[in-house]
Amino acid sequence: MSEIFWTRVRELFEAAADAPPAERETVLRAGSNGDDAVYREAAALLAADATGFLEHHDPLSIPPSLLRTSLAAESRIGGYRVTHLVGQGGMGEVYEAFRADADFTKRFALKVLRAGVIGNASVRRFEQERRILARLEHRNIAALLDGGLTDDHRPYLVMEFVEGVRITDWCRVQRLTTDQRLQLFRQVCGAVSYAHRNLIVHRDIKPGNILVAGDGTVKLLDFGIAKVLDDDAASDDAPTRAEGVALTPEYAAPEQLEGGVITTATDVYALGLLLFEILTGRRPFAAPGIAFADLKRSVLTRDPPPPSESLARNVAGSSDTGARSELRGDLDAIVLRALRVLPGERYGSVDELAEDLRRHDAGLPVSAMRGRRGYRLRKFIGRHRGGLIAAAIIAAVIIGGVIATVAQAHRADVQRGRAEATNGFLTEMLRSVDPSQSGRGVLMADVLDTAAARIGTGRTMVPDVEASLREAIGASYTALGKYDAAEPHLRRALALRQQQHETGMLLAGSLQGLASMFDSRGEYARADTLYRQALATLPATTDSAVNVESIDLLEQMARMQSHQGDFTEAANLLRQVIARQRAALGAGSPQVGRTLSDLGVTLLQLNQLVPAESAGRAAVKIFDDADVRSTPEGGHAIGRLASTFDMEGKRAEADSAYRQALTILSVVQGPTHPDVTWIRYNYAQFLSDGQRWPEAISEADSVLALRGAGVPETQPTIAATYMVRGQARIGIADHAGAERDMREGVALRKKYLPAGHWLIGTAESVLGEELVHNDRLAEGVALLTDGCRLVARVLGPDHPQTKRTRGRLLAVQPNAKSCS
Amino acid sequence: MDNAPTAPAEVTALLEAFRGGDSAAGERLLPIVYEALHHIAERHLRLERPDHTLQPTVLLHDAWLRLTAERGTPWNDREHFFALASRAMRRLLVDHARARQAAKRRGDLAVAMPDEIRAPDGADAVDLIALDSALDQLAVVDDRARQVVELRFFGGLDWPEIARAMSVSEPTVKRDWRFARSWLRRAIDGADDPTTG
Repeated sequence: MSEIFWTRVRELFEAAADAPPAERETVLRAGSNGDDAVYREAAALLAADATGFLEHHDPLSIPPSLLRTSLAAESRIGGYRVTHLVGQGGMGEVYEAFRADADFTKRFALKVLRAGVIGNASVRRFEQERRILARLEHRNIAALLDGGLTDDHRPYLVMEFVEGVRITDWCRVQRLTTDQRLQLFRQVCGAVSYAHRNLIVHRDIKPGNILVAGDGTVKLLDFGIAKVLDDDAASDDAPTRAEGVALTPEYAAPEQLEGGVITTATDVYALGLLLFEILTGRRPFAAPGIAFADLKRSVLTRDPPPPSESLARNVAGSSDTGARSELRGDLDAIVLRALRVLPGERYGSVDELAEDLRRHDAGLPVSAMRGRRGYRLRKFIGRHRGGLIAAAIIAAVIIGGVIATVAQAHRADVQRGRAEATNGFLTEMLRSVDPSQSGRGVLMADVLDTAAARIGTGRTMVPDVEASLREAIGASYTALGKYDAAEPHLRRALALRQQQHETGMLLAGSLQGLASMFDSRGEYARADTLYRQALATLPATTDSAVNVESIDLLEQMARMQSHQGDFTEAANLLRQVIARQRAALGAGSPQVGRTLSDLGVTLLQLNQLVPAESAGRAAVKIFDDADVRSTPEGGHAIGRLASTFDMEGKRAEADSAYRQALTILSVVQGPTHPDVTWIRYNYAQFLSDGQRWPEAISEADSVLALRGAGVPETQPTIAATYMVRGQARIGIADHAGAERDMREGVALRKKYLPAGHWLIGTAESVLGEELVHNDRLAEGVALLTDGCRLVARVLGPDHPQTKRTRGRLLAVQPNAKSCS
Repeated sequence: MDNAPTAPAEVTALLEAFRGGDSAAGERLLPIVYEALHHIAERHLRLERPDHTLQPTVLLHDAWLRLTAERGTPWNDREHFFALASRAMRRLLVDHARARQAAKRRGDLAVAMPDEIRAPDGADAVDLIALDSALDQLAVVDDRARQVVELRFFGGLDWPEIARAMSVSEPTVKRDWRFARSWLRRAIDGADDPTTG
């Protein structure tokens, strides 16, 4: 298609260039036959022709003697013969190379990394890393074949030589349609996802690392090389150092610019940037020549513009409304979801991103837009509680929610009209919030107040549009914690739905909105009634949209019961969710796995260990079968199963599951993620319980090294881990160290827990016991007594914790009276 | 620079194979030609005044002599060889520009160099790195036009030489050149709208 295009352009260009200047425009018009793209391209070539480009230049007017490379031509490196430099970049030099001994025709790329002379420990790590990378075998990943150290001790890597064009250039030159661009992008996702399943993060995804060969095959270069460089920069004694070093600031994720933790979510961000650029031809933040500090500030503080808007600015005044409307909606939402500042808010995995693109392709609702009607809106608003954000983004989010509502009602014919009415209202509203400075940031709360004040006045509005808007406003107020402001809108919306004799999804959604508000306000009984009414309005059907809705409701109800501490009811609800998810999505759906894992944890709370284990095992099996074990969800399912095994006393299974969970989650969420430190703490406790003292101490060390370096000391994990390490140190007879750790644990708990919390009591009790052992009887007994009293007061005289602390006291002072 | 030359017999064999239409031999020869060009350029610059401007054709002829005549291989259709040499010249110059750019970023360049190639009459300068990547793109659209640019701009060949090297007529070469120039200019300016119109 593109070949034909360029043939036509060239013919037209030549015909016009051959004609006398005065007639050229006529020739162009006539010859383009109404094809605007061909006309524009040929006209642009004519203008370029007139510049006389390349006609009067002499390329050799600069002596080429300064060409300096670190390897001379024909150098031998390992078994390779270097021919010449083919590129230089942040990571070092790239040479073309051939095998020295055989096969003169097969070309390789030999990269000499920029790292200087490296020490022995780094050499070991480089070798380790290289072996891991060499395991990647995928048709879209340039194979890493060999590597080692040059004579002057610089690491080098030998890779498959890839000839191709940058993916962004390929899209432009081949003039690919949006669908074709997305198809290329999915190849990229497939390669990255494969690497993630092998726990390898690319860390430097950018167009320069993604080439397209002549047959349209995508090849990713330099997988994980950034890590090799990074490790080399890090010294051995600082394993916890923030890892991020951005090789290419324009393509760096926020956590890379901040020196934060690099995980698979970092690649998800980079893929979002790539998708943005593939779709629009530009990057969301990086203007040419932007200063690093400005770029960093933009990336960290501003939301990127939706791609459709970027395109609008790009080709303002031209006839590209078609391309723009292709992007608006799903694709905007998908890109923006991948580009969230906080890693946890992005797609949980590359597969989820790819799945959304697939759904978009198939015309199905995408997860970035769909469902959890209020959920996304609530999260979004929560994050922007007090900050300024672009009015257009607020509009996009709210319109997205409203459109999703209408779309769920299956009224394709009226959908467009409703969306436009909503859009019109919001545009007007946003303008009135900020009349002088449209485009500058506005406060979420101001937007809401204006919208809330205007909605009942002025233009009459179609009732179901008004209802949708009020639901959105109500959900937004709920997210801001302004329940009293939310309530009238949610009630009015419900009344409108009832007046319209709505049944089914729309009515259910309205009821759910009101229920969520009561739920958040802690009025559980009222919330429960409304949730059940909502559920009752949904017909029993195989319709997937209706099922999604009822599943969402049941999940919300289960969460509420858990919060209230009614785990039996929560488990019942989760079982219903699972049954419906199986029917709607298939028994092997990762969503079923997610719910099964939740059910397992709920059963654990009920001390029903055997069913908890089978739910947990079933969850992990689903993630395994779907090949999504190496995702946050997969890792957590394994971590929860580990705790179950632990409680059951199945030590071998627990040990292996803890390790697997930690390996996966350290890569996909990063070692400092609170969930990961909790699992590591659990593992340390497990090891200590099993009297594996040195290992317990070592795991605890890993957690405590993060104190103040990624994990704030306010987190309860830190205090808890000090207590565990203290216990393990007693095991190796390091009593001084044990006392030091326990004192620190007690101090942190006193500092950050509310006064009178029972955890302070248990910590004091444990410290007291150790002090008695260290012959500081008076102080020890005082702590034992205080601790026991506190625990007994809070948890009651018969709680297991009370019995345990009392036991410690009685062991020292058998005649002590009851401490309560 | 270390110059461990490929065995003369091997070079001769490769040249013969390349002349016979073996493009793999061309690939293999490219670095050898590159090296020869680099060497000749350096020698010229040592002997001549530093601000002397080299003529590309002189370099190409010298390289040809060095690789063929001196080895006793009579080879009359030297234009065919020039196609290869022009490609090598392109790489040499682009590598040079990249190295200079990298050195500038590091800030350790001893001698200040002009960033781009200056036109004698003060017209717009050419950014070699951008030109190089635009040429890669042009190759996808029209590879023959790409080759004309290499021969004319990097090899300094005249119209009859280019026509002989490519076995096409002179008017065809000129049309290719006109299209390629315009196309490259437009690609470098990057004005292209990324979506299909």
